[in-house]
Amino acid sequence: MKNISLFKLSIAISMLFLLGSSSAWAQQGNKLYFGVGYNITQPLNNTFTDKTGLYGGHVEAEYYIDKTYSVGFNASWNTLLKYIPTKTYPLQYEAGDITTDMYNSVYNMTYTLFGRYHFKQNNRFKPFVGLALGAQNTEFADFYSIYQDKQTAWGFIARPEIGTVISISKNNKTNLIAGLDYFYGTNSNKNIGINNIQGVEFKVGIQFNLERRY
Amino acid sequence: MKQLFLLLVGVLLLFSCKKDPDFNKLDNNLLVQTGYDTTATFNTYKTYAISDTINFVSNLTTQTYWADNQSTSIINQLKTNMTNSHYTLVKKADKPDLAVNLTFIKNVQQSISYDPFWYDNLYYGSMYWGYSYPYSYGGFSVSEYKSTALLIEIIDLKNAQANLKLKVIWNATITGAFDKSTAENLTMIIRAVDTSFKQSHYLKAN
Repeated sequence: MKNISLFKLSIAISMLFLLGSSSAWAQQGNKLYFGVGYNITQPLNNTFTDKTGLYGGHVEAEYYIDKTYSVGFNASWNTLLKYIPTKTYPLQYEAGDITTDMYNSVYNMTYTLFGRYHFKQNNRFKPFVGLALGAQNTEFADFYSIYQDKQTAWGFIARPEIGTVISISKNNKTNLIAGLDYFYGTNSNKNIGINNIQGVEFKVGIQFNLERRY
Repeated sequence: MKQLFLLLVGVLLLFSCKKDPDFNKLDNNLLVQTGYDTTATFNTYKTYAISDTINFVSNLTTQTYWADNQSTSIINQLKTNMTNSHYTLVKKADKPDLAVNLTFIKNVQQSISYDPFWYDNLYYGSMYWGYSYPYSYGGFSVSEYKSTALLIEIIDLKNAQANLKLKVIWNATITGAFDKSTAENLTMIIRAVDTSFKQSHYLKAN
């Protein structure tokens, strides 16, 4: 619930920022974009959830300082799930065993500020490189039978990225954006032997310029 | 219009941001937990007795036992596993070494915690095993929670007088959703009973 609340807060701030500032940016070109998208995540350094995560997404606000540089805020999330077939485990604190199947789950919610360098401006495709830095909240969970064990941890995240913006409308008011990033989060859970969270992420989305023209 | 569209997209994303696992898949098997008394030597016991009914604990009914074709199937499966472990079924009058006790807890909004292996009070003469055995709850204490479980206990009768205690030397707790059809639930329970013995390799008469 905390994750959802922070997420809602970030959305609300982004929307207010975007909608409230629309008139201020009128007549100054396309500087401010709001984007939403879909993320696919491949974890790199843990066997707890080493399957490709198909359940991810992001929202972001991007402000172009000029034609080359942009900065912004990004909130993204992904869920990594791994099914463990039925297996018998010894009990940790008493004599006995337990048999169950289970799901391992890692849910990451990240809040980052990013900067991007855009290479070409006179083409429909505008490749960029960027770096995002921020905070990540990770929920580690085991689901078995009707039970779940859950722990959460905050960490610092760094996320270099490459990608391209693809203009699909007149005046560049609507763009597609596709990218690939590597992320390193300091979130850890010693109980399951995870010291950090690393992975690569493919993302595709759409971004809109909301500034009004008079 | 575009703003409205974006807001809708945002709202949709809010509700799709976290993916739960497939709980239906997890419901296909019951969780089986077993424990044992490390001081017990299981191959010193040869015979056992078992009731032909299952103790029933529920806050939904005053019924205290479960006796129908399903309970009989479960008991028979338990007997099969005991036989496979080389224990011999005898009548209670024949002074069995072990007593096997089953309790089913259904839709009780209570949690089950286990006070393992010991019953502190020993009386003679009045109840099923010849001792005052706390049928309804056995070694399990219950507090507020919703749970459904089948509990199996093996009690040491052979050394009861020497110990002046009824000692539970093995127990199994089978829990899960139990939310499928009657036949499917029974299949899962029987499979779980087998599992409880399979994961207790030490539980053998010789």
